[in-house]
Amino acid sequence: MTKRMAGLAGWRVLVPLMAAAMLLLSGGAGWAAAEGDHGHAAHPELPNYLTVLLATEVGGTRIGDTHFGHFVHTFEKQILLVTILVLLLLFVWWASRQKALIPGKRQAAVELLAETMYGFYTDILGKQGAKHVPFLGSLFLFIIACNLSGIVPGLGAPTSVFQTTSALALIVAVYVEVFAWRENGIKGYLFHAFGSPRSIPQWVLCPLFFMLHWVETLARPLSLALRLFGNIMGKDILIGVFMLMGISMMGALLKAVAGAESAIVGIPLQFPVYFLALLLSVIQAIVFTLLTAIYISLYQHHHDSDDGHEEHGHGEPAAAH
Amino acid sequence: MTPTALFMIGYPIGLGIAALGAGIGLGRAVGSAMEATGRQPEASGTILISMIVGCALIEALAIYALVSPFVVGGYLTAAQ
Repeated sequence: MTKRMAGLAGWRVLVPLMAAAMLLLSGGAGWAAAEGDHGHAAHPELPNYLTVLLATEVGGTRIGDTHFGHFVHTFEKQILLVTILVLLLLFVWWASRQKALIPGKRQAAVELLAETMYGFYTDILGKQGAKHVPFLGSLFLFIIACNLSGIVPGLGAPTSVFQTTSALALIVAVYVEVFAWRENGIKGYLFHAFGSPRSIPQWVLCPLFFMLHWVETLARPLSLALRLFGNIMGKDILIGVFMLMGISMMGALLKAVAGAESAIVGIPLQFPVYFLALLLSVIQAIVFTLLTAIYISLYQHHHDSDDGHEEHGHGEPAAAH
Repeated sequence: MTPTALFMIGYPIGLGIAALGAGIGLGRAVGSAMEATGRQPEASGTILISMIVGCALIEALAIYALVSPFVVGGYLTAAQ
């Protein structure tokens, strides 16, 4: 009983709680920014079910003009994030239903996905890194679902705003730091922060390494957030601009042929961009979690000096130089 | 010259320079990946994954140049 309750207060509860807290905070930052200046140039993007909701008229007034409409408009991407989270949870529940010994089609596909992710992350983290695979795997699934939602009609990508990606990067940063503290102890962590000095020249250069360590600790999650945000926002803007071009082109065509004022549907010029968008979405999710795994592996104990069992080179983290 | 005009001139030039650097870096990365695949074709899967990851990291530098003016430009339009 106590073991179960201790497990309840462990990683698997704290990490989602942290995640929820940071995502809510990030939504607050978005609200503050939107309240502060209304001069943000809205970049073109595909409409989602929320923008359609905001544009409908109920009893003569657009929903977008009401107080509720302002709230939805400010927190649009965060509401989309919750939507995608709910859909993803439903999908995961549906996918993990059967647990037969001889797998059917659905279970085989899910097991393929799980084993591929397990193999991928244990390649970097080694056998001792198997405890990180649930975190990295769910992060990967969440990010890829968010990225691909930019293409799904009716949904939008929550990762196309800097708030979401910075929240994800904060989660990763806190996870890596807490893991580093728990794995190495405070003294071991500080030793690593000072650059692990072992000889007199290294001891002299200690303070430099210390400053560099904190700069790195700040810059690495920031680069993660910026990379994901830039890629997904750029992809969304690209699709939006091509779509607008398609609509105006269709309008010009209809005007020349039939004399109509504007077009309801546009020529699907954004379709070739979808292939690039698919590729980019998947690659950015992979790169985000891969870099997280590498940052975790930098703090792991390297077992190459073990005399108990021989660890061949496969177990060594790839980024350890 | 107003700040907005300077910003409008500087942003594409900066982006072009960043894209230049990214292009050189990506060309070198993909080139060595192709060379490595030529030396050992059975390792092409591993080489492909490493190349994709390396390219994403190099690409990120150009994306910083693409994206940070969005942040700066927001403050610019707010200040005027």
